[in-house]
Amino acid sequence: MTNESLFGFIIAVPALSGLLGRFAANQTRALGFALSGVFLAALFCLRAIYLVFNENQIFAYSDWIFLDHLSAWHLVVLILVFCQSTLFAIVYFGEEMREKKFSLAQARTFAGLWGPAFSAMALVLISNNLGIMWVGMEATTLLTSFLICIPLSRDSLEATWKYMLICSVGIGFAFLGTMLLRLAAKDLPLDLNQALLWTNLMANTRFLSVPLVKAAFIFALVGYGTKAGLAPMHSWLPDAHSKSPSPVSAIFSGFMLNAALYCIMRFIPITEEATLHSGWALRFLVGFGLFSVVLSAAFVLFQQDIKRFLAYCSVEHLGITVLGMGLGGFGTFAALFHVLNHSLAKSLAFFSAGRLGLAFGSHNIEKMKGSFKISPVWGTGIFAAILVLIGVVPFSLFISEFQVLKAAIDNHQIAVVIIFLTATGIIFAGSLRYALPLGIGEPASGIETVPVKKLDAFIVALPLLILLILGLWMPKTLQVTLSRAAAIVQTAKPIIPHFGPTGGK
Amino acid sequence: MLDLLIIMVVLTNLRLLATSRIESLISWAGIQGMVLGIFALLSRWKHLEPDIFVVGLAAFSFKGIVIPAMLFRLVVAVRSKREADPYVGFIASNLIGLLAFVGALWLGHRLPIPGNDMSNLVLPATLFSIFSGLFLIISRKNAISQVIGFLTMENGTFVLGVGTLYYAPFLVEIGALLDILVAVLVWSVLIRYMNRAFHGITTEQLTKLKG
Repeated sequence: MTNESLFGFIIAVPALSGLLGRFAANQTRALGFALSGVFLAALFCLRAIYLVFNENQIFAYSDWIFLDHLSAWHLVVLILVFCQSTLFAIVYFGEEMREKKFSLAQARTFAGLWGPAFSAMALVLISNNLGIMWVGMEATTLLTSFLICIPLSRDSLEATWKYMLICSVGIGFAFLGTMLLRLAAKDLPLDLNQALLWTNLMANTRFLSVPLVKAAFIFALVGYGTKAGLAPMHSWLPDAHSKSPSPVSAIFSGFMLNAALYCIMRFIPITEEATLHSGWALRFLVGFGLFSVVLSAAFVLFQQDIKRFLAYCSVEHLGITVLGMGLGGFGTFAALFHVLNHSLAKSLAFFSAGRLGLAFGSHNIEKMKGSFKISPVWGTGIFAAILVLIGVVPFSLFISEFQVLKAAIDNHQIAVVIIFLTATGIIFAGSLRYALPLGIGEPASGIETVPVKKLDAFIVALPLLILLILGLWMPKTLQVTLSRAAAIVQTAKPIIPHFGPTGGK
Repeated sequence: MLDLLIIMVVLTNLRLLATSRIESLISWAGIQGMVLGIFALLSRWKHLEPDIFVVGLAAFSFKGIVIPAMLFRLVVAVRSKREADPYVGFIASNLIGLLAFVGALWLGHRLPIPGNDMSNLVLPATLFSIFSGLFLIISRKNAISQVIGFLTMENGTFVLGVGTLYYAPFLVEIGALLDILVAVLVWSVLIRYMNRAFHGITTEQLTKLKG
């Protein structure tokens, strides 16, 4: 199979499944189309990832499309989150169908947009052309907006409106950033069709106009940062996450935010190289990252809706990732590792919150007390996921948070260390206050218990198992992949960190 | 000639800030779209290749005709109030606009563009369009005015992207134009839903989700 057809399938298969799903005869078939589209595309993605592992970089379509370790790593996270979320969509909408709350029109909307959303996010990752990357990112906004208001209500419409407006404005800024970068590369003797290629820009950073590169970075950071939910541009995020159906919340938090962050990661090395590694771009990342962590610490304490609480957790974790990037060196490695850990844990949290929400008939944390007794599987899911998210040992999210902290200490950024520890400490205590009654409290009477099913158990067990194993032991292959991906962001030689039996300590 | 077109973009922005009726807001946004289409064609008139011609024509028809037509139909469908419902009055809006233009001129001069084969007005016009768009979004209550704010913002980037000699490749520009078209389509469906759910399209009512 040529690279052209491989990438073609990655984009076309889910898009086609969306088209078929749009005209499905009934709800089950619609979900079936979504499932087969995503899983089939995942197989092609795996093939592409395998090729990158052997060949370092693969190109297609006159170099407009490419995959390197950074994008391949994100592609791994994408297929993990999407496959899990699609399986969960079967569980979630299956239950809604049983309660006759999931109409054919809703099923068609879901299936019609789910596959194409996968294609758009994959397009962001495989684009070498920064303009096409932008087109892909904007397409994710357009394709996912109607996923939020699948249960059509005033609240979901309000959330969709805010999402569309704020993210479109953000993405508009990102487009300006992209165009400014194009202008910065004006003097490069490149063919028009080759000028916006990331690989070409990276090879010629010495010839870029530095003030324009700086302006481009600021616009891209604010623009894509809005889509990534970085504070203070995060205001759409809690609304959209809390009002959309849980499988959709899971891909929002589990991957869409990362896709936006990935776009920023492509701008970092260009800016850093052009500014001669002065750390100019990194300072902004530290600032946005820390502010996001602090702001979510303030808001996490006052949430009543479990999905809003999880949404603020996303702001925190995206903040931690950006902070890691900003610290550079080992921090970048940690940030990329954190992307996987957060995505797995957060999608599990949204799955559990969504399924329990159906059982309890509410997402109010107070009303969801005693979820272990209502559903041992999903109760474990939500309880464990919150514990993972607040950084409990021995799960791998603790390791990556610890590594970010270590990077700050190594950089002698004591203020960062203090602020980071205080904010995450507050979040730890605040979240535990929710998690304990949520898990082991006494449920209100009259709530039906959820029967244990194999698929449910699989959806909960798989991410927890991965998080646990990675917390105790990191395979050499993963280390190498991560350090190569980190090297792309840092434009430096791969750093292979030394891992003891418990990770980075 | 090109400078004249850029000045027309700036003037249409000021007009947008001063317009109270939704219909004329849409018309002026359409006029701005047409000006941009002509601008894209003229900027490469001497070396007009098929792909540049298509981008210019697509910009002219999408921004100048198709999108305004969609918005006019939307106004009829939702029986929108004719006023743009500003939080900030029209005279004040225009004064703020003028100040912003001065700011954009200053900022545009501070960002040096390599070479001297491009109009000095391009960057200030871009920045001013973006400001005008953002200002329309935050200072108007009517949902359609906010959509026009977004379009104005995108038009600003278009000035920089296509109007200069150093635009992005054909596929990127066409992709961006299609994205905007689909965005307006999504918005018009969303506004129709909102009209049904809230019995109106002012965004004042969208205040339930907080904290």
